[in-house]
Amino acid sequence: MNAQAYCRFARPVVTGLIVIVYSTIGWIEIRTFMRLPAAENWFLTLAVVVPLLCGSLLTGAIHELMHQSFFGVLPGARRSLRRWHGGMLAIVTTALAATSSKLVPDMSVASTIGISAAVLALPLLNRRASPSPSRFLWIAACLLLGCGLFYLVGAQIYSIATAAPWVVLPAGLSIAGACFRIGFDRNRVRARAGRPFRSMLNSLRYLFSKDGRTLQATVLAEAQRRNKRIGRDWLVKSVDSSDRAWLQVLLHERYGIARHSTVWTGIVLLMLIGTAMPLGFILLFGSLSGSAGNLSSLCEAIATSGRSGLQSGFSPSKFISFISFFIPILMGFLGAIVPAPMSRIAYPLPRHRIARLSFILSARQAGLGVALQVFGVFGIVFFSSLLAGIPIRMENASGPMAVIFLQLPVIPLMQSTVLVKPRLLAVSGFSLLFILFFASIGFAARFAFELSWPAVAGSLIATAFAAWLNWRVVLWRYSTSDLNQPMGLIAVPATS
Amino acid sequence: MNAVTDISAAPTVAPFAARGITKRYGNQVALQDVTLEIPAGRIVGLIGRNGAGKTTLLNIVSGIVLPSSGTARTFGVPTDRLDTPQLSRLGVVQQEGGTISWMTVRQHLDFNASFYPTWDRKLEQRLLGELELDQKRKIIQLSTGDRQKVGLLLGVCHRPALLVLDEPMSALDPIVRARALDLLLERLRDDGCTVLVSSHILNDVEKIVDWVICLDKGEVVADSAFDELQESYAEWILSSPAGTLPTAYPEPFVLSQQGDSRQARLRVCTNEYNAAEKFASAFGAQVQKRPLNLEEMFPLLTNCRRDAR
Amino acid sequence: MPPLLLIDHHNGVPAYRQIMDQVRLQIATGMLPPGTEMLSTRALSAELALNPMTISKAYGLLEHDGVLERRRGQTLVVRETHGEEAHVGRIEPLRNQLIAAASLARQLSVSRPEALRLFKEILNDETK
Repeated sequence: MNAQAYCRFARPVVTGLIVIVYSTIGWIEIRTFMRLPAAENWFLTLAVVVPLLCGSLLTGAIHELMHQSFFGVLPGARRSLRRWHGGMLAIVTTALAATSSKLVPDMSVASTIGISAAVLALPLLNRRASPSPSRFLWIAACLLLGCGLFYLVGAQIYSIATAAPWVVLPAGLSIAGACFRIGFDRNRVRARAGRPFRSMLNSLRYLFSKDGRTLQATVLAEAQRRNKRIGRDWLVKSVDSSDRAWLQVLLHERYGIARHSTVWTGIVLLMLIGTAMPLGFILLFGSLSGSAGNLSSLCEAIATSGRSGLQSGFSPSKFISFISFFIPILMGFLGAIVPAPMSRIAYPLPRHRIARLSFILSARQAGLGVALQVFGVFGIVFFSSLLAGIPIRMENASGPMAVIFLQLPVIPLMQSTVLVKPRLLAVSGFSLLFILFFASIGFAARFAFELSWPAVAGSLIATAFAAWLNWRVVLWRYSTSDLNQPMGLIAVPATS
Repeated sequence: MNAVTDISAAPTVAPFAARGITKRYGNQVALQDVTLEIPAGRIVGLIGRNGAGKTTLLNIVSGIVLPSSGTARTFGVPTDRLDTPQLSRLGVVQQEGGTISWMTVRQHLDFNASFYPTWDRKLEQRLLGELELDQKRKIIQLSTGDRQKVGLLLGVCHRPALLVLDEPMSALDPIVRARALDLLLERLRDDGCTVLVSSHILNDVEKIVDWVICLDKGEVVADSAFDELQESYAEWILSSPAGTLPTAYPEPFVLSQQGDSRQARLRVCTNEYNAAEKFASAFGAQVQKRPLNLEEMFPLLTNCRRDAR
Repeated sequence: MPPLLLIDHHNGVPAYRQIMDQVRLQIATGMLPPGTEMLSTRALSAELALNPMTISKAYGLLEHDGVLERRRGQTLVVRETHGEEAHVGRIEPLRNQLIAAASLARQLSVSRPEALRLFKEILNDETK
């Protein structure tokens, strides 16, 4: 294997970008949550966060190759990968040590090397066994546990590293060596061949490329293949020509695999998550940052913050309340902007009818998204008022409701951008509107917004107009384009 | 060899008629200025190399793909305006996809049956048996061959007037394939269904088609009755013990040549009666004629646009 | 029940022509006596797994050539042939074979007397 082949798998540029972006986020989160002095902050980022990301991505690159069914046939592949991976780990460790000596002069280089080497090699232990639903829970649990553990012992790591570098270095290196040996053990590698490779983090490397769509489609197909459940029977003997009947047909195609109860439960769960997540944040922030006073006053602040924006200056409680309302609004928005995907089979319907049915389905989805927003907002007001012990007053939701009305017209337009044909236009339109969405949120946050009837009317009129525009785009798209091309960002599931 | 009639003057509606259709995908041209008409009540074989444009043409016939320019009409209606009356008389068997993978075979049959009022349950039951399909299995879990069988069923059971099939049998074993070919013939016999089938298995195509359309690099290079092709293409073996044969045969009807001054094997395309005898006597040689089957004709069809060697 | 026809799909000879040649041969050899009713187009196409149009083309041409005739409007039957016509019908298939044999004889430089002697010998052998 030469450098060119290795780079094709490792995708160094994209990998580097992902590491930088997520390390920055990591640095920020350590700073926000753990409140350590700068030097410790940098050390933990460089010795733990960066190696973890780097190690995962680099390991993902070689695992992807190892999971191919033909890997065992390639001569000397295992040894070759071991050499390359080892080389990359050495390079990264050296780079981190050099950076660390600059940014954290008090920390001994030996400790940095020891800890980062160990962390870099840890992902090699990941067996990547065949995925099952419980595996997601397992991964989520591990992540949470890991974060919690890190939070608790983070400061300790620094002190140990400063105090006993001559213990940390050999310990780290031997851990790294052990992981390396285990990870490249012949039997383990052989067991990987043919197993499907799945990693959310590593899929990021393919995000905006055509490979990404294929990967998405393959994963979907694989998931479908494993799903042993029999979908609902279609009990309609003959579909009449009404829209209502055909909507049932399309919905059955899309959701027939799930029981009705599952679909509704899913929707309800989503609504609850939209409310619960921000409340969780509130509780977390409230207990951690401490500067917001006790929980009930925080909740009171949130409950009443709906009436005024951040104009009167930044304060943690205002920020927290902003984030809390932002979450359901963002979640609902993301759910609303996805248009209905194209049908897999050619129904005996004229194109303009398929367009109309598709539009109706997309509108339903958008409606669901907006419902999530509204439900989330009211839910937060309700629960925070409850926790604060103040009477529940719906006017407290007027600010966020105004925001919802403000961004409402953007939703149909977003659905349109996915359908527009020149890819550049679609991507730029999408990005512009996304920025517009965030701008409207930011705008609303700065200035107090009162929900007034003229504003509501204006929003509804604008939304109606946007919806009409969206309808024209949908009709145009279905009338003039091939019906077997995927639309927009959604991958068409791999054909059986 | 061309059987195109003016579309607007046709007394009965041809199942499919195209005039000057071109299809571009970005920079690639899949079909270039294709004009043809599918004759009704025939089994038409659509042949061509990989990437010749067969799938694109079939998708245009079924209205899934719209041509970049030119007019295409199915049952006399422009393909972008196909409506339920036309689409319920159309049966499509795609090479890949066209099925909902989470459904079982039984569920999918019931699903499709609900929007085709002409669905024939008896035919469906009979075919399930003949093609040996287990109707309880989910489509995503079927092998490629079984999926092709499902595709056939879904396209055929509503007794369409025009059946469009894209490589429908490539993964079927010989026994089931023979039954599938019989099925197509039966559709023609019983319903007068027009069948447009593309396949690489020329042996199969040969058995049932009576009209052949050959595409090469997006252009039509043959569009005629299969009989006419069989009667035009032949192999001539010239022998001249005296060594009087020329080294090259520049005549345009000689499509491929091989040999020396004493014996030559030529593959030709000509309608002229007794052409072989006249040709051979010009060189004072004997000639033996042999007809060519479709597999032997195929390389000649796809090369004959270039200058014959 | 008329005897079976055997169609080779892969030898390049159009199916309708094969049907015609075989029907002619069967009539000439007496396997299809005059007045025999031919299978309907539909039935024959089902039996031979051929396109009905091919069958009808063959039947049409045979009718045009006077080999078959239409009786009572719908059914095709083998036409009765007498004298010269019947004789020609029997000679034709043999002629085609002999043309090929003669060509081969010329290629092999077998002399005319020798070729004729060979043919006679074979004929005598077979009648023994």
